[in-house]
Amino acid sequence: MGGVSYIEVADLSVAYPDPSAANRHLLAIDRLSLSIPKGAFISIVGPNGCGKTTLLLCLAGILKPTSGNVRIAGVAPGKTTCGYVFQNYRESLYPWLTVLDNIALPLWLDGFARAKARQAATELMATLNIELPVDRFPYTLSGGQQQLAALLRAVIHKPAVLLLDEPLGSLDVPSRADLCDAVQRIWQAIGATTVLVTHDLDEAIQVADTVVAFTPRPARVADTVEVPLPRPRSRDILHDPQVVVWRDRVHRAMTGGRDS
Amino acid sequence: MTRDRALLALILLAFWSALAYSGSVSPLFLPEPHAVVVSFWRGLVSGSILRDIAATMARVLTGFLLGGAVGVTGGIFLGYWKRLHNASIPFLDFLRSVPVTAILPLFLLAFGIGDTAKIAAIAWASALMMLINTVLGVASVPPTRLMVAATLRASSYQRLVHVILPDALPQIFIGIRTAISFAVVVAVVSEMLLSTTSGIGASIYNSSVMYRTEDVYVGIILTGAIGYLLNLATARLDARIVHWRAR
Repeated sequence: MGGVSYIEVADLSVAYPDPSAANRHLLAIDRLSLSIPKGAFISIVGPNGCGKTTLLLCLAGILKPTSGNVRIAGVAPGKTTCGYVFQNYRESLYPWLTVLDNIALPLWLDGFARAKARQAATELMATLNIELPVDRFPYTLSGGQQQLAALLRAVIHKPAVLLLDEPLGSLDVPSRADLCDAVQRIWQAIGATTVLVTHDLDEAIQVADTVVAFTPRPARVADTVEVPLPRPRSRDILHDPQVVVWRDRVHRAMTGGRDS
Repeated sequence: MTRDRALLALILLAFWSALAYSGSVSPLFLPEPHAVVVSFWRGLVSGSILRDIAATMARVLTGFLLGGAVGVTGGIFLGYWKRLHNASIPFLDFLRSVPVTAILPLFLLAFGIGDTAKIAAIAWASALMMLINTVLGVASVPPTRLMVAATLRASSYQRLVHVILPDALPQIFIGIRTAISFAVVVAVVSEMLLSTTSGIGASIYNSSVMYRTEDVYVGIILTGAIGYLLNLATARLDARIVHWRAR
């Protein structure tokens, strides 16, 4: 990955208490080092439970590493702004707020007046040319619309980093394609350094500049593949012979060389 | 639905009339329907029914509001302080199992026979219901909702006001509905047991010792109607405010 490092992960290890045995620990991440340039879009792929979400929580500053260091623009992650999109949009959106108020929430929490925050949300949607039934409550929307609202909420306060935790994981196929487009458009418009975590190789390659493959738990970097293709990218790029080669390479790295 | 309900009411009334007018049950146990209507009308004209309703409702609402405030505050506190909550679970279950009537003598000793003892008993019962439900609501906020607030660097106060309390609201409303029905029961019982001159419970008690069974029936029907209407009102309020329940 070229460019000046913006997110710097050095020798990061995270251990959780083992639920099956007292006083034992499970190592989720093992001495992971990673460097991400400013404004980049990287995808992290790996098997389920390999520690991808753990890494995102460390980048968001809501989980303390067991050892090692995470720096964003030279400071601790808790001191920078971040936008976080969770896989579970039903839980992550607040059902007592309208869609517009959900999107405006980060600005309220920052001390903006409600009306001002709402206006900013409306403007953001106009800028990105996105339409949503904003006066309704989130639970009345389709899954794709709900996740789109969650995505807008994650960027309205112009965060330094955008963290996407399996955002398409709970969506049906048509909504996935729509949201894939939205993710790329929003990233291009906002310019936030973006980290997408997924176990879907196609999705990882379609949206990112760089795909990082993790080993099974404890997570370490198995391989890094650059994807220097023009944007905007549709699913058609997945038929590109070069992409097929990259895809195989990432797949091999993730599975540790098995069934390649 | 409405027709079925009206039909059921007519059948029950016919059954009551048959028993009462045929003379197969003494009017001392079951007065004739028209006697209850006449008694109700007299009470309405003299103003005694409205006075009783006002006195009982004043106790119910005062006790419920005082107890509710204490219960919600305590519930938030216990919801945060998991260790104290875990330690207190058996005590809460114990207190919940003690009928309020059993501790009425203590309220009588502490506050005398005036309104304070009755209101305190209602407040006690309401506080317990509200506390148990608030703790449940506060302690079961989905982790993702809290993580959203954490990623947005929300302060503890913002987390409480913007996430925890709204998320606990459906459970708090269950508490409100249980507590208000229970408050009516405690109000009527305490009016019967702690001598007083006003309130539906007092009217039921005084009528019963004078063998005016039709007046006892008026009191019973009033109590049921108040409980029914309060439940209806809180259910409407719940559907309006907690629109996301089970969504």
